[in-house]
Amino acid sequence: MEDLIGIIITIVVVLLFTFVPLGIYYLIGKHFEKTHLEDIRKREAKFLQMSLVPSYVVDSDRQIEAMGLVTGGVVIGSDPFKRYIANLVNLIGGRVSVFETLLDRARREAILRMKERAAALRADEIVNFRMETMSLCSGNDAKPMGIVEVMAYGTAVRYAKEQK
Amino acid sequence: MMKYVPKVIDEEDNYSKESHWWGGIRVFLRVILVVLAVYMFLGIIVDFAVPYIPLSWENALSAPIMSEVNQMGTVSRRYEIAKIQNLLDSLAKLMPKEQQRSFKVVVVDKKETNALALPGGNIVLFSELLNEVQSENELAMILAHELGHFAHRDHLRGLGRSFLFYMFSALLLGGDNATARTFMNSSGILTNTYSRSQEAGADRFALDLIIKKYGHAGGTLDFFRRLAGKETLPELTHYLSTHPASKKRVAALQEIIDEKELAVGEPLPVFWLKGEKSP
Repeated sequence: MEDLIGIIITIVVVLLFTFVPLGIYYLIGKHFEKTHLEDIRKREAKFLQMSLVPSYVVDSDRQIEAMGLVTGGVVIGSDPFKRYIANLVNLIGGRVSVFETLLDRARREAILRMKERAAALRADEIVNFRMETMSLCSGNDAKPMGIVEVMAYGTAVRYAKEQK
Repeated sequence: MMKYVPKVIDEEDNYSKESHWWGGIRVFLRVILVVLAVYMFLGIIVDFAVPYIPLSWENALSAPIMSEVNQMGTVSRRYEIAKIQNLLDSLAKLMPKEQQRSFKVVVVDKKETNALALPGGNIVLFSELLNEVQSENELAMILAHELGHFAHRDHLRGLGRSFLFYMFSALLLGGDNATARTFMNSSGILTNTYSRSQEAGADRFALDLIIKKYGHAGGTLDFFRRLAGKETLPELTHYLSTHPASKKRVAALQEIIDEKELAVGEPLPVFWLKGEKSP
């Protein structure tokens, strides 16, 4: 009986010390994620007109004025809540949904930065679009830091203005 | 050539819509279920296997564990180890035949009132404990208590429990990370992870040995009594510690003494500081 009470009290204390900090981290992370997503949606609507294709095909009917490499990179970090849950999932397997939103944001942000760069160069479209993802690691044992870099790159194409 | 018609894709199918918080709670509960299952399964295995673990296996564990003990503090040179070892040997001879083996006592300088029973028949006493002991009978009681752990093979059960402790810490710290492993190394094996019932069992075993050796129970409880006097922590925290509150311990032992109407004689004085002469 004493053992049982001890176990229950221990569990309650442990839960309190685990879930309260995690809850704070969760709320902070949720806030940043929400504002970032809203920002991404707004900018995506703005750059909707710029086509983005993975193939190396340009409009053969139009004359190309200029073309060149454009890149867009983003380094995005997780928070302790996400890492904690991801570690737990790692113990038993399953979808790591906490990182899905993080990586989705990173990919969209990278594409947006590339498009912004292309727009600054007055490009009409981006062809040959590629994307790379890598995890930043530290220390001798190359321990992942829970930080991800997404790099989008492609060839920006500017067509000559049609003479009418 | 086809005309490029952009379309807003607002479904956002690339991630699950479930709330991270509730998803996390679900994962947490799932992990707890798995850990509980592993805990129960391992507990059964440990309890089943412990009586059959041969001594040679156990002795193989001795060296790595003792090297961790040496990291906790230096071996004390203030005490006549031979005298304590003699006392231990005389107690060990009184144990049942099938539980007899060679035991070795090690005194480590550490400000902690504690003693450990470790695989390989090693008994570690911390110097603070020896400082507070005032009679031979008190020390004999402490040594006999550790012998009780050996007799019941609690020290091996403790190893199994250490592994479970590691699992639990891995859960708390989130997965198999370096912190959890350090946690395990620094406190897993060397913390007394015995349950209160194991401690009470060792206490009863110790009292039997003391009666066999001295013929009376005088002075055996004094040490725990003094410890109880010092314990100022609120009662509740004892639920979190592994050892039963000294007050309860004394009460349980006193009950046995009263019940069996054991004799209570004068305790023997001790002389184990180096340079001290016994009269």
